[in-house]
Amino acid sequence: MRASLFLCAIFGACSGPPPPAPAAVINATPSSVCYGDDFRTSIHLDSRGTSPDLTLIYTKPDPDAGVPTTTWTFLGNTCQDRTSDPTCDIAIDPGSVEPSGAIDFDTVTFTMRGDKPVQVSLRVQNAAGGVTETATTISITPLDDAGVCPLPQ
Amino acid sequence: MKRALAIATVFATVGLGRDARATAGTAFSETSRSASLADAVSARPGDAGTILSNPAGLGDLKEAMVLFGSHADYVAQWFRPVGDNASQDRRRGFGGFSFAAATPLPGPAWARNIGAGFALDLPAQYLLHIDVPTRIDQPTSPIYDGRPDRIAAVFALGFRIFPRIEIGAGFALSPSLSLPTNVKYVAGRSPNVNDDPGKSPTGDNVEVRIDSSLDLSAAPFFGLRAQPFDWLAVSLVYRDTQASRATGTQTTVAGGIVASDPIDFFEMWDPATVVVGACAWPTRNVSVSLDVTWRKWSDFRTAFDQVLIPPYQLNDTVSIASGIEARRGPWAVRGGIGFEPSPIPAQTGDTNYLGGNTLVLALGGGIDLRRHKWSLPVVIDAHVRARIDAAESARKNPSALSDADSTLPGTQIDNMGFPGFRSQALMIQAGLTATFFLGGGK
Repeated sequence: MRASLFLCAIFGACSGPPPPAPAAVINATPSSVCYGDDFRTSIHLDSRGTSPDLTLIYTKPDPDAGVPTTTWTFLGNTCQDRTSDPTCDIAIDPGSVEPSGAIDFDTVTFTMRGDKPVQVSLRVQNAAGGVTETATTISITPLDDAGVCPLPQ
Repeated sequence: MKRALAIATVFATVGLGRDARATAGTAFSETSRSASLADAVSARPGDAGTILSNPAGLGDLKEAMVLFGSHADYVAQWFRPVGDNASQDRRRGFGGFSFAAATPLPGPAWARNIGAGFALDLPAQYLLHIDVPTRIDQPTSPIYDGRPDRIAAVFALGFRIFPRIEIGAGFALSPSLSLPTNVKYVAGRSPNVNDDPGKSPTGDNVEVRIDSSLDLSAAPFFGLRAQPFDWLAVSLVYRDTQASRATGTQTTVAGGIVASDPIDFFEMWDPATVVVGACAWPTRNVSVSLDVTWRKWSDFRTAFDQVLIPPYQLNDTVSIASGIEARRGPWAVRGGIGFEPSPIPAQTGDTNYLGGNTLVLALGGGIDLRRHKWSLPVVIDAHVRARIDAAESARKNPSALSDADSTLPGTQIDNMGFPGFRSQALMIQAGLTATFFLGGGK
């Protein structure tokens, strides 16, 4: 998510008020893999904390507010079958991908090569047209001096 | 002929280049004449379009003039982490408009040696756009990202103190944003924390207080221009740093929870600059100019107004530019070439600043309708310019990167540029300037 500040002072209002924004939430488990993971660790992304309204304090979503749509994007070389794509860095579980190729389920599972961090973005749009984007990064943990992964296995 | 050869030798020996200098301070918004000469104009006779390049040139004015300029720009820039097949596309288009007016003072002869000028740059898309990433490692170009996105204005005076010596001074205005914001959740004031359609648009139990203001900060600039011989002029210019800030406190109160984060965003439009220039006329209708520019990029701060410490502090640079102009009747053709070393040091740490050494190539022309059979007090100029950046390559030092999650054992690296990256940019610009002489075209 980026903070953007726009100023339109001379020509008056730039546009009408924007639609109410949804809340976009990503829970990633685990949040880090060791260097050279080589697609061994399965990473689970969960957007079910997302809400159609952005609130200061969590409240149960209005059942009439509709279900917000989610769209996931990954920065890097993605694939579903890494054996057929030697350049693949991010292998998305085929069960997390729509037949059209879109990745828009509540949850997504993937594995990664583990030579660099993977940035994941989540775009959430509510029924009113409000859009919120957020991102998280699955980090890389270098091996310790003994060449062992320091992360809990 | 000897003089022409000597001048050509001097300019060929010294080299060529300089960074973009705007009509009023916005990057890449120079007049067509300045842009087509690669901005090597500080020692040339001044006009309304060179107020910021060298305010001393206002002492050259013979009559009042106004100019209108416009430009369209396209930047193609990519960023590719090592190992990725696809690049992150950072292309963007922008444009802007310029207005400038300058006049010699009326009255006695001594007053006519004083010129006053005003210039205004107006970006086509924003009056002010400060886009602050939430992560310090987000790929950012200090050269192309934010600099074209602000309104800017300059005021200056130039004075011909002796027949061949002029001095000038002025100040450039940059906007800054003050935006203290207070968001308060009043528990129990309403049964529903969310918006209540038909009532207050912000809900009954959330108070939002915003007290924003647009402030102006002034950066001074000074210039000297001397023409010891009819065929040679020299110049010296200093410009102070131009920067904008967005500051304020952002306080969120929810029940017993109070979060107060200071807002302190920073955008450097141009660092402090010293220009040494020369202009020579090998023949009556041909002129060649050279500007050497030192820029204090080491004052650059992150978007969060943090000082960059060595070895990640930006480097001061010396760039060079040269322009040539040939006139025949009402027509003029111009060309310019420049070289700007990159201020970006090796990006081995947390930041991912983008920018390579840049070659500037410019071409332009104009018609002076005062010398045309139409005899109108108007000059029309046009230009195209390319800025070709060399590819930048970086490889990260894992021990220099921050730990992304101190709660986990080991060091977690989430830097967007890890383990390394490549980047490159190309900018293409076209512009048009019309200058109107209000004294009839002397």
